[in-house]
Amino acid sequence: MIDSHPQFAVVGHPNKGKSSIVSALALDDSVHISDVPGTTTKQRSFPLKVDGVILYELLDTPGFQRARRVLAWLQKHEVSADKRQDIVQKFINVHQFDPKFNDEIQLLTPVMAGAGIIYVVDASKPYGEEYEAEMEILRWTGQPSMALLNHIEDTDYSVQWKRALGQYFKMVRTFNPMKTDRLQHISILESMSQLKEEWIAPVKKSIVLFERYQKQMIHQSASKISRLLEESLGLIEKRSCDSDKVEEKDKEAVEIQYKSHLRLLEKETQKKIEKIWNHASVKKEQALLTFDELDLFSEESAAVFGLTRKELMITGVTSGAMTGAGIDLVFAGHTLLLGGIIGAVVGGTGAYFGFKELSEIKVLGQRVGTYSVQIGPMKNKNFPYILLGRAIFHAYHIATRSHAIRDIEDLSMDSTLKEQWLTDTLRKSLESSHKIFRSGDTIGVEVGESYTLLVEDILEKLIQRIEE
Amino acid sequence: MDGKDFALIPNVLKYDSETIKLNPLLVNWMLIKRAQFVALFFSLGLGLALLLMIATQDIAFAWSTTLQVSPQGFHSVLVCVSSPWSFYFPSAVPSLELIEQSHYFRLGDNLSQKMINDASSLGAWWKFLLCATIFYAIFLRFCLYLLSVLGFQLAITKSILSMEGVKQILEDMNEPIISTHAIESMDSYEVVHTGELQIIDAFRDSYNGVQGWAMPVEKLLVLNDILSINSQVLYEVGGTNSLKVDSEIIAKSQGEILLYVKGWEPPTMDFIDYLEELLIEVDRVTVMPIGTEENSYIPMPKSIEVWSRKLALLEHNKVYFKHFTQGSDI
Ligand SMILES: Nc1nc2c(ncn2[C@@H]2O[C@H](COP(=O)(O)OP(=O)(O)O)[C@@H](O)[C@H]2O)c(=O)[nH]1
Ligand SMILES: [Mg+2]
Repeated sequence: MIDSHPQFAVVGHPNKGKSSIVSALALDDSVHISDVPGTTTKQRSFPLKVDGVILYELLDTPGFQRARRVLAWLQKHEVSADKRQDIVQKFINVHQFDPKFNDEIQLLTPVMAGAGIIYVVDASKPYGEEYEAEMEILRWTGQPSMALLNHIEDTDYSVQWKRALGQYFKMVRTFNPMKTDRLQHISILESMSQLKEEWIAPVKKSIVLFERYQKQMIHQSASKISRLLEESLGLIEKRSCDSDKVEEKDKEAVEIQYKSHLRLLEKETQKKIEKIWNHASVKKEQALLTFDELDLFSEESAAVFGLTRKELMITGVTSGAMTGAGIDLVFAGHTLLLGGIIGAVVGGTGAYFGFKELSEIKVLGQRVGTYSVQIGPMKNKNFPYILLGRAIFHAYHIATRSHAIRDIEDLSMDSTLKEQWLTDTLRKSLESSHKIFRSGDTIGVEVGESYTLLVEDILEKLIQRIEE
Repeated sequence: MDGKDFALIPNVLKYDSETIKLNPLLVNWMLIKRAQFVALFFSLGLGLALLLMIATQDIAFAWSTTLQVSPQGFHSVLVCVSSPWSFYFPSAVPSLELIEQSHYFRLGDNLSQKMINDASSLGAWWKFLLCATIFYAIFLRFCLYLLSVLGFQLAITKSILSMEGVKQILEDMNEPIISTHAIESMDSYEVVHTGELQIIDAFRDSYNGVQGWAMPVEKLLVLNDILSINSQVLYEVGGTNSLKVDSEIIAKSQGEILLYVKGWEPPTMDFIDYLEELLIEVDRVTVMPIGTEENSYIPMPKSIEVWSRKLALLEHNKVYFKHFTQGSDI
C-alpha cells in the first residue's frame, strides 16, 4: 500500500453482524444490513477522514461462501509456513475474475494488502466446526487479527466460542453494535490499534477526534434547536381575506396555516439533526422516531413535554405581578402547610396548558376594502418548553441511536427525560431567551448563541450520562 | 435630488419587506443611517443659506433676552460655545465689546443711538454664526452620520453572522472536518427473483440416507430418535470434511435423502455446491432446518425463512422443504 494508514477488514461468516459492526464503528447508517445472507457482495470502505486526511479505514466485506474450497486449493500447494502468504496471493491472482470466489476475493484482497483482520462471529449461536476452514484461511494470510463476539440474540455461547477462537486469534473481544457507547467504541478502537505497533498512534489520534466529532455534532444539533425556537416563537403568519370583511373562517384558516408552519419547522429541524448524526440515509423515508402520534399541539404532548402549572408559575411566566422568587416562597409555605395535598392538586389539574390561545389574531387593513389577518408571534408561554422538550427528546434519541439499527423506533414518551435536565435555574435562563425570541426582533447571534450553549449543555449531559 | 435616494426605507426594502425576512436590528440601523444622512444635508443647506445671506445681504446681528443677563455673563457663555474653534479662528469669538454693542432692548432709547453708532461692527457676528453652524450643525451631524454608518456596518456583519449557513461555514472553518462514512454510495441490493419451493408436511416412513450439514453423526442419531426417523445410513457432510470425502458420500447416496441443516447458520454457497452435486445422484432431497439443542431443536421462524428463500432460488424439482415437527405431532 502506498499510504500507510491502518486498514481493518471486518470479515467472517455471512449474516453474523459484520455490516452492523462497521455501521456502528463508522457512525454510518448507509451500510446495507440485512437478514438475507450474502447481501454484502463487495468490500466497502469507511475511512475516518479529518480535513481530507485518512486516519484509518474500516472495510466491510462479504462473508465467506466457499471457505472449504479455498482452503483445499491452498492446501494443495502445501509449502513451508513462511510461503503461505504467497500462496494466498496466488489464489487471489488466479481467481481474480472467477465469480465462484467473488466473495472470498473481495475479502482476501484488502487483507493481503495489509489490512488488520477483525473476525466477527455471532456468539449467541453455538460454535461449529465448519468455521475452522475460514479461520485457517485467515491464518494463512499471516495478517494481524482479532476476533469480535457479537450477540445477535440473547443466548450466550461465548465460552465455547472463546475456546475455539483462542486457537486462532490472540485477542477476542465482545462488541455490541446495537448500543452506542462511547467507551465501548473507544475500547474496541484501542484493541484494534494493538494489532500493529505502528497503528497505535494514528488510532489514538482517531479516538481523540471521535470525541471532538461528537462534540461537533452536539454543538450543531444545539444550534439547530436554538434556531428552531427562535424561528418558531417569532413566526408571524399572514393571510389576506377574500371578502371585504374578516370572518371567523379566515381566523381559523390563518391559525391552521400557522400551526402547520410550526409543525413543518419542527420536522425540518428533526431532519437536519438526523443528518448531523448520519442518520439520514435515503433509504429511510419515514421518520426514525414516530412523533407523528404525538402532535405538536396535542394535550398529550403538552403534558409530556410542557411545564406543569407550578413550574410555569415558578418561572414567573403566568403572572407578571409576582416575581419568580415570590412564588417560590409562596409555594414553599404552602407545601409545608398542606403537605402532599398541594402536590396532588398541582399534579392533577395543572398537567398541561391548553392551546386555546396560541397568539392573538390581528386584523390588518390593507388597501381600501381588503383585509388580512395575522397571527404570531407565539404568545403561549408553555409552547417554547413543549417545542424544546420535543426537540431535546428527539436529538437525544438520535444521538444515542446506533447506526446499526434499521428499525423505526417507537419510543414511549414520558416526562422522565425532561425531569433529568429541566432544573429551576435552567428554566429561568431559558425563559429570558424565550421572551426575546417571542418579541420577534432578535438579532440571533447573541441570544441564539447563549441559547445554543444552554441546549448544548443539556444534550451533552444527557448523552454523557448514559455512559456512566 | 430624487426621492429614491432620500426615502427613509430603500425602495428595495419596501418592495421586499413582505417576503424577505430582514434582521430587525439591521432595519433599525438602516433607518438611523438614512435619517442622519438626510439631517446632514439639511444642515449643509443651512450653512449654505447662511453664507448666501451674508454674501448677498447686509445683515446686522443683535441679541436680546428677557432674563437678567449681563453682557459679561453672556460673553462667558459664548466663549464656552466657541471653544471648539476659538484656537483656530480667534476672530470668530465675539468680543465683550461686540456683545455690549449689539445688546438689543425691546424698550428704551439707547437702542437706536448706540446701535446706529456701532452699526459697522455689528456685522462681525457672522463669523461666529458661521462657525457655530459648521461645527454644531454640520460637523457634529457628520460625526453622527459616521457613527450610524459604523453601526450599520456592524449590524450587517452581525446579521450576516446570524444567517444559518454563514455561521455553519465559520464553524466549519475553525473545526477539523471529520467524516467517517463511505465515499461511494451503496447500490441497493434487491432479490428480484424468487422461485417456488416444494414443502412437504409429513416424513416418509424411511429414508435411504440421513445426512447432517456440519453435524456429527451422534447428533443425527439424536434427531432421528426425536423425530422417529428410520434410517441406517447416516453421514456428516460439509463441516470439517474434505471435499473429497463429501464426493465419496455423494457417490454412495441414492434414493431419498433427509438433510438436516443448522437453521441458525445461513446457507452458504459451499452448501449449495454440495446440494447440487447430491441432486445429480439421488431422487429427492428433503432439507430440514433445525434449531439449537437449547431450543429443543425448534428453529426460529426467521431462519426457516432464510433457508426456504435460498432453496426456492434453486428451483429444483428434487428439492423438498420440511418444517421441523416431531413425528407424533403430524
Ligand atoms: N439484535 C441484534 N441484531 C443484530 C446484531 N448484529 C446483527 N444483527 C442483525 O443480524 C442481521 C445480519 O446482520 P449484518 O450486519 O447484515 O451481517 P453481515 O452479513 O455479517 O454483514 C441483520 O438483520 C442485523 O440487524 C446485534 O448485535 N443485535
Ligand atoms: Mg454484510
